[in-house]
Amino acid sequence: MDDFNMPEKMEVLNRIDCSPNPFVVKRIVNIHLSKKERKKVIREAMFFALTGFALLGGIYGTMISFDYKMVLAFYLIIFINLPVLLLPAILIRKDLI
Amino acid sequence: MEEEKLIILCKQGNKEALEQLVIENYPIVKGYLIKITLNIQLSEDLTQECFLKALDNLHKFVPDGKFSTWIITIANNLYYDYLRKNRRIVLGLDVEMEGFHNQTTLIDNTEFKEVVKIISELPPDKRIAFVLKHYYGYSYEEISKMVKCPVGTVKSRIFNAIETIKSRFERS
Repeated sequence: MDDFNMPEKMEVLNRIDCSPNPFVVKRIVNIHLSKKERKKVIREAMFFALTGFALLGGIYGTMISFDYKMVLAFYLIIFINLPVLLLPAILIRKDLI
Repeated sequence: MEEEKLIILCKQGNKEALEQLVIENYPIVKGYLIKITLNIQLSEDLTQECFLKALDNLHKFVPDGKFSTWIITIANNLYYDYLRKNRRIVLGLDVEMEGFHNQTTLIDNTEFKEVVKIISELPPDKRIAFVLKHYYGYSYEEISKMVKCPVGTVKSRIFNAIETIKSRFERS
């Protein structure tokens, strides 16, 4: 098997031009970088959201022990704050602020 | 720039380094995929897909081997996926030859067609093992790691491929 000499004819496949088109190279790199960026945004948004939930959970826990009406307040806080918690992460990543 | 440094920069998201890595390895991957798919269009599509996958998983690359070896393994996996998904579509030789028209103006057409025909007669597993061994010079152990099968199987695939090629050349 090792002493098999490949017929010269078979070398013809090595002569096919395989050089990359600069446009294709740029496209591959840009797709990769935008995917990477998207993943970063999602990760940061998740981090902010989870931190927010943890904080709100803490606040809720403290408040509920004093006043049952705080249940309503808790939901209100969540709905008001969630977009606010997510927004900075997205804006920072998009270079808007 | 050394490959190791280039990969470190790529992992940091350096655009120029990423472009250089793609430019350096693109001919290797495309050339390899042309030899195993025998279809220019398909090899171009798979090459792009292969680079996207490789760059996305660059953090998994351990620089104890060459980057080209790692990316060829990815190319192999993509080709196997393609075959699995398109089991019913069997490309005929005429279809496979289509993309080569522009290329064959530069090289001997009849010789080229003959080689493509002979290689297309090999089943994908044998074709891959043969190409890796005789066009790229990988050892049996390296090939067995790349195609994830025992060394003995690789040897028998290459032996069978060589026998087929020899008999086709003798016939022609």
